[in-house]
Amino acid sequence: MSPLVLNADYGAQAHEEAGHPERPARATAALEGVADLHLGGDLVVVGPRAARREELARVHAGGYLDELGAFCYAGGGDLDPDTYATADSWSIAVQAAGAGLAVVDALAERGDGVGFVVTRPPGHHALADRAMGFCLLNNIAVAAAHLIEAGERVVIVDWDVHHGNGTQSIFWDEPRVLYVSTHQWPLYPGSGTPAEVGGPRALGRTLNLPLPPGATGDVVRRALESAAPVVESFDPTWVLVSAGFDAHRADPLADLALTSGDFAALAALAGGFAPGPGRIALFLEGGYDLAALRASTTASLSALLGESSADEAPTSGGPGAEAGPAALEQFWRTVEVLASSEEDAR
Amino acid sequence: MTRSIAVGFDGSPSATRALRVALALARDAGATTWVLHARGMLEERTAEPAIPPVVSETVTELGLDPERVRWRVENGDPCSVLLRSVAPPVEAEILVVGRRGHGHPEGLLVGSTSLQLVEHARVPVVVVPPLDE
Ligand SMILES: [Zn+2]
Repeated sequence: MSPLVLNADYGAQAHEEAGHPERPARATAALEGVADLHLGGDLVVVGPRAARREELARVHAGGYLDELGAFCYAGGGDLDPDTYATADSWSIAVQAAGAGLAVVDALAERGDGVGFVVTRPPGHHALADRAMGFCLLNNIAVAAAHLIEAGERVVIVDWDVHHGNGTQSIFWDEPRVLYVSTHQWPLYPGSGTPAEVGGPRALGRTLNLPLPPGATGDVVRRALESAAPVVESFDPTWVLVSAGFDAHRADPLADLALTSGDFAALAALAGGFAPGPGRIALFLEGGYDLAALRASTTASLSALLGESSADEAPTSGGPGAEAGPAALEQFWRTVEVLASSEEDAR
Repeated sequence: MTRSIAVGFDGSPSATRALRVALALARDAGATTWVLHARGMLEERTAEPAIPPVVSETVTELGLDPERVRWRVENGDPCSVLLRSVAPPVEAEILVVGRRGHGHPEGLLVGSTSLQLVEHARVPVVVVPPLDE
């Protein structure tokens, strides 16, 4: 069995707003999901460490970092109708981004294991210069930027139920990162259509697979399977996963119909994209039903660690069976059209 | 000639002030007003929020043709929804937004929809200040 490389607890409890679903108990639930694996000596805990300014500045605007820090030190408040910050949120967010770096570095050094980063606040909605959707700093983007700086090629698989608009936008024109997202559509944040395929230097490096409300596990699996040829031709050296568990049928913020057993299957698919051991890390994004979050964490990680222990069976038969393949078709058509208009422009 | 004006509306007092300004501008220009509501992550998804009474009342009060005022709910944060509205079907040529009052640190873009819009928009932005300034 592979070891699990987990970030040390950095104490994110002070990032909290009364009644807000993005709450400290989520991290506890995810850690309980890890404990349920009974890993013993196969659990490796690394860090904590803060992300350095220059590591954050690879993906965030300097002015935004300054202002977010100042906003928090002034006491915090609401950054938009969804997103809060407290006086402690800046230092917590910097630790969350650092946790991803610590896990990725530990995996690289060991050359084996599966990474799991329990990040609060989550990150995939955070833009280069704007907080949104519960997210302050884009943790997975900071880790991916760190890896490409070291010469790696990174596929980011985002199975959170919401489109990771921040990650997509940050790597829009970056050919060394392939961003693949399955998400409910329509839903917040409103982006993530198959016609969004990347900027002129990175055509085809963004692949969106929107799925209708009610979609079951087989539908999401099929969508991610249909992305396999794109991932294989990209030939990644690393796989990072925006592992939100809010596509679970119990989640209060969205309407997909997955179970923990489905997340195990998605994790196995993502694991298949990794070129070898020690090359995959899951980053916690959403997931707002605590029991579902705990069970889905256990199921996903056990699938990657080489043993299966999902307590809910995979689901099938929901709407959108053709959504994945149809999205892929539109993706290829758009890439073709944009590539030939680039040619013409030259 | 201006054909389309978009205003962000979340039901707050500052949004209601912005709505009045947008409607008055549209009336003078003969433009269509798009009243845009950004549906956030925390909002109920099942029922499409109906046009708020204050919008219809203001339309009547200012003597506008109700046909020229459109209510639209879009998934997203307020800033992104307004920025996207320059594209079809809204094709906004002017964006109108209220500025929040007290409590927000002066001059910080972070947490301020209006300042972020001014920073990023490709079309003119009208920022309506709060009453207490
Ligand atoms: Zn989510």
